[in-house]
Amino acid sequence: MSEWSRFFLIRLPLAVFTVGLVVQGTAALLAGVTLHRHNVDDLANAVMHDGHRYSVVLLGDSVTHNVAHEYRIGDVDEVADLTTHAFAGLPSSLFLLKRYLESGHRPQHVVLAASRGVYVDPMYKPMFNYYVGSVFKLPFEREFLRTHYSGYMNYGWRPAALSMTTNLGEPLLSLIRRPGNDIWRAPETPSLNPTLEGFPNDVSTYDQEAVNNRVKAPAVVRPEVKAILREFCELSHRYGFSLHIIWPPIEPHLQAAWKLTGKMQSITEQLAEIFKSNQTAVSIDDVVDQQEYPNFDRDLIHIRGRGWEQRYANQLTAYIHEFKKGKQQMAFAN
Amino acid sequence: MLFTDPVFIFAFLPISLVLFHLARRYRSGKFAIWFLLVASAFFYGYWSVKYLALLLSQILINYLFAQQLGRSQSKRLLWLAIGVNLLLLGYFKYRNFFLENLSILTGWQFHLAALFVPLGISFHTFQQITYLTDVADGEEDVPPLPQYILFVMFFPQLIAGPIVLHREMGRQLASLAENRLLHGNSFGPGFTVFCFGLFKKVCLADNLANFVDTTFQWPLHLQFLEAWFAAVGYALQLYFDFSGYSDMAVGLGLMFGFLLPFNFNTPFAATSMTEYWKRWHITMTRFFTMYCYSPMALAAHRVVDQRNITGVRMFALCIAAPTVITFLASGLWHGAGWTFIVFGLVNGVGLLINHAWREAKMPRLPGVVAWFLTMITILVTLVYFRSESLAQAHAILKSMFLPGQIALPLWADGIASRVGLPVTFFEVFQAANFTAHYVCLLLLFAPLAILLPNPAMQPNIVRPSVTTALVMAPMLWLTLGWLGEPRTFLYFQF
Repeated sequence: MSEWSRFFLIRLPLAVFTVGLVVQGTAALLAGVTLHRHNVDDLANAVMHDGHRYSVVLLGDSVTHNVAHEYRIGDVDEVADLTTHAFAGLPSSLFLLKRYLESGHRPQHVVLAASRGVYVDPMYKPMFNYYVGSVFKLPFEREFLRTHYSGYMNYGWRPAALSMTTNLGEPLLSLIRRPGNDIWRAPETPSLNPTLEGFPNDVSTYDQEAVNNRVKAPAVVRPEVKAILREFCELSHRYGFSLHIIWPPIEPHLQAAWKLTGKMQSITEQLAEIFKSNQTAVSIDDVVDQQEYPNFDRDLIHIRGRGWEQRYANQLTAYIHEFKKGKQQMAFAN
Repeated sequence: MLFTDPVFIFAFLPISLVLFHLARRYRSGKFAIWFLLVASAFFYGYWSVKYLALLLSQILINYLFAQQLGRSQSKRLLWLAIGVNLLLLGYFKYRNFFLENLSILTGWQFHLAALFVPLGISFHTFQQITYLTDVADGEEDVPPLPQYILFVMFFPQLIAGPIVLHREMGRQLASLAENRLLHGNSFGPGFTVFCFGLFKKVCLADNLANFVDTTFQWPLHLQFLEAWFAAVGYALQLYFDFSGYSDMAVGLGLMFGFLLPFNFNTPFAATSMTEYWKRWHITMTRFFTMYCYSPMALAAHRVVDQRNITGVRMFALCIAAPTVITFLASGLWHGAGWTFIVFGLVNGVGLLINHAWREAKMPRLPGVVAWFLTMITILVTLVYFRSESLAQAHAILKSMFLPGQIALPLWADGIASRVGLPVTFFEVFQAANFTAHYVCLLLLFAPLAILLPNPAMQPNIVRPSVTTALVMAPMLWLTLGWLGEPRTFLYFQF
């Protein structure tokens, strides 16, 4: 047998097998490590262990998360901030809420403050596994993802060596970064009269092409989102909380363009129809109807400037207090 | 079909390897050549049958030209043949660029249909031009048609090089026709080199791609740090992508018993622009040196000798003009756009400074300084190379060299206050974990790019040892794990 034959028939396969075995063993040792790669991981763990008795749960995407992460929404110990971002999308909101409720927490109100895009845009596939698939692995979660997300892959069967980053790197780094078992609590109380930043001097905050792209995007609520909203309704009935949908601030040019095309109204109506058919009382409100937010990042989605962020935080707090006082109109009564 | 495509790796490659060696063993070398031709045609036609017909037509026309040139060695006929090839290339690759600029100059309006550039057209067109030139110079004979077609179409080098000279392949093909492989015992080293190349592409280049692409989405809004990370990240991505591809090509060649020229020799270790271009895309540099620079420089030297020109004028005629023209052509070869032309120009100017420094007998710079200056120049050229317009490139370069202020992202306000820097909004680095991930990749990959030699340079020194197996095993696992999400090779567009 030549040296190369020996290499291909014995040495290389043996080395591949050995490395695979070592990685598999190490991965098995690290399997119990709670992942803390990002805030979705942190939340997925915290919702099951947090001991505070929050009466309101705040869900939403990064527009709300950026604000709630920095500024307290509601009074002290009033609002559990379970906001994430679009890469984690509405499945993360549903799973976090479900875990939270099934851990014995009983909020009276659940507020979902996510941009319209979260309801109508497909989720970003390259990030789906990182922020959803590899985070939510309880039986219900896996089953839900398998049923409603065609791109979902359960990688559980693969040898650990094929995903060394996930099986070794991330658990090891998670051992270093230990954020604790509590839901994140924003460090600052928003000022009641924040200084609102002016427009920057450059024109970078407004990008016509970005507006056009967003206006052209479809405005049909996706089937998987409908399934998630049905689950919300079901949870609302089972655990007795009231559900509130809030449209976060939106860039004025984009808002005007969307209003003109009727897409804003259409999305609201589609959601209303889902809640109605599931016999769930839900309020749907648009914060921009109350106050204008002109200062945005270039993506036209995220609010820019600490003053504007505080304004949104205050507005959310005001809304929540209105719900609790029972002043808010429930759009679709049983 | 991409080399990273699972269909290629797990079906096309093993099947064609087995059938090729069976054909050689049980039929004949000529039969094996025909088999490789069919396999290469399938490889190319898998992407587009229409353009396979175009490629075959181009090859046949060139073969006819070669036969005539072999008989007459007429310079006129050579120019006609080169003209036909360049026209074809121009039509498919530069048509819109030409019309756009003509429209700007004259105000005429043209209907610009979307361009669909045949895969690898720049590579195989240049390869055939070199062959025609060599035949016209009497340096190469005309081989039988199947060998000529395989010289152009041999699938490992068909779509992104290396740009092979006929003198490198001709003897190997003739030998195969007699059923002898000149590098017949190279399957092992070839497989190893292929795996290294695949690892570079899938695990290194594609990992960087996500970050680099995000950075280049915001060319007009990058902060100082983002702009530098964009430039360095892209340089590394391009290197691992293209050198990975070239390693794979060499490895594949060896698996079939052919030795292809290598394309990279740790270019980021270069301490001068001249050295850099001797190490980066070596077969392209060789093409431009042999078939563009040298004839021009030779002609210029004749003029200089006849007219007794000396000093700066001699430098301008014999070195500066050929260098700049060659690099402008090289820039244009890379793509139909002003960014590519400026990419060539900046490289040309860099080389001129290099030559002038040497001609003026200036003191030799310390190695680190020379390396640093070379790398800065390279990064500038690659910003042009990657940007979609000159305005974008200039915006990034402005952020790199004239940033106004150097600040840190908002999330780093603790560090900023310690080092006395302001904080500001960062478009790309707005999240700490994204930034940390990016920085870690660059810190990990940059030394690999600078220090690791290219395995394709000396494939036969690869030994089938336990160490090789232990190095390859984790690489194979990692590569297989990432293989599901490969991106296209950057150099396919050229």
